[in-house]
Amino acid sequence: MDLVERYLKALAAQLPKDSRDDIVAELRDEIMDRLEALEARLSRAPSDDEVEALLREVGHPLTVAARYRSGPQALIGPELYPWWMFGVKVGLSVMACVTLVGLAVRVLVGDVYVGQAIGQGIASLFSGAVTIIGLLTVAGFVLERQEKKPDFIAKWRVKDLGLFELGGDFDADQWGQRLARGDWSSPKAKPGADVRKSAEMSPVARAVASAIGWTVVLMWWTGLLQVAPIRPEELAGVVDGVDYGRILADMVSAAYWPVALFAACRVGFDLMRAASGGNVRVTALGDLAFGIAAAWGLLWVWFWSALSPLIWVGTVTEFVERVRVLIGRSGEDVGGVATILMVVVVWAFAAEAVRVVRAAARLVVGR
Amino acid sequence: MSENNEALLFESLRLELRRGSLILAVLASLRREQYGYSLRVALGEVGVEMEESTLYPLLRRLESQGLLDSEWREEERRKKRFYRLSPRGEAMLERLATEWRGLSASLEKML
Repeated sequence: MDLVERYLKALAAQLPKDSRDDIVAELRDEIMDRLEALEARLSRAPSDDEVEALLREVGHPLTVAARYRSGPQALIGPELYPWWMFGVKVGLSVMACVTLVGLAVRVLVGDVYVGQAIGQGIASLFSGAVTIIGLLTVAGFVLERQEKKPDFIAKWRVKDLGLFELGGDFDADQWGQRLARGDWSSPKAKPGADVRKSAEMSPVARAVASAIGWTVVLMWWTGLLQVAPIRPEELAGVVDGVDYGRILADMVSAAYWPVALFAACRVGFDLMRAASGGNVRVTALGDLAFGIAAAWGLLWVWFWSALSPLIWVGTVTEFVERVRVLIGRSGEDVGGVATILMVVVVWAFAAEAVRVVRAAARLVVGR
Repeated sequence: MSENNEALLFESLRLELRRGSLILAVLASLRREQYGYSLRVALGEVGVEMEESTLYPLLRRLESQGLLDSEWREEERRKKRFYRLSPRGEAMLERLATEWRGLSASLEKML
């Protein structure tokens, strides 16, 4: 009988307090009845092994106790699981891009060699992936336990589906199964290009994708996500006689809060846009504001930041001349990195300017 | 190998098919008052095997939904919890039985 009592004690520990005694008493009675029936069948007292086998049939205390709970029995249920999986795919893709950009900057700055960069990239990809999957799982766990599932699950629109064609190439379930089977050969190529071409995103889907992307960027910038972090004190690259590490450190410390604020506003705006259904004028107004902010940031880089003395050009002629020198330069020429940065900044500024103009036009026209 | 697979597949499909009928079997058996063990034995005799970890939580849930009444009573020197269909449970059982017969009749025509 000792075995039964120990079993029931372990079970009781897993049950909610208010119904514990009741459930245990009922199961004790059930087990006693079964033991008596077993004894009658054997015409002797059952051995400890036989009692244990009977208790195993009743079930492990954790399993039995879980059946009495009213909430969901899964971390993330079958209804939510595909959404969770999709979130993981998007999050990991964005993180991979951010990591690559971060590493490219560091290699360019001369902080790390390519070999080192690959090693650090893999290490930070791993910790970043664990963070993203962990956060999404917590979010899924909470959503799974809500009375009402969020609207985007039930009230979806066909025009939003373009977003979901994007993830089609990477079939994580298939990969998971292959890994489990120990099958390392690559899966058959899928017709991805046609799918991608048809991926026209609706405003809402774009807003959601943008919000996820900017969240990852924000987390990266603030160091919540340990992906190729910019750690100014460790940067000491010197290229062409210019200490880019020092410059990058100055710029990061000067721009830390503005960039964090920009990303946070962007996430908030995207979420608001997704919730409100993507009104054209509201979107245009937001694009206008964010475009101006980004353009101003680039102007800052261009005119006033620590990088400015290197990339500053006063006239178009001067700009063209520097680009010409870059293209035509031989190995020993200096100033290559500065020119590339100059081109990137000018290009990005022009792109933001175009975006601002287009947003203004949409704001006026309302289409 | 493939015979074994067929057997496993059949078993899982069979379980899925029967799962929906368990509640009906439990409600119907409880027209007469029973306690957990006697109910399991009675269900087992008509071919509806149920594990304790399925039956007891189900009884509790049906009671909280007002379809069953229960009381603790002493019998054979032990306290036992007796369950019985409540008036609401009887009405619900009638509706579910009608549903079952209709479904069964139309499926029978298909098969």
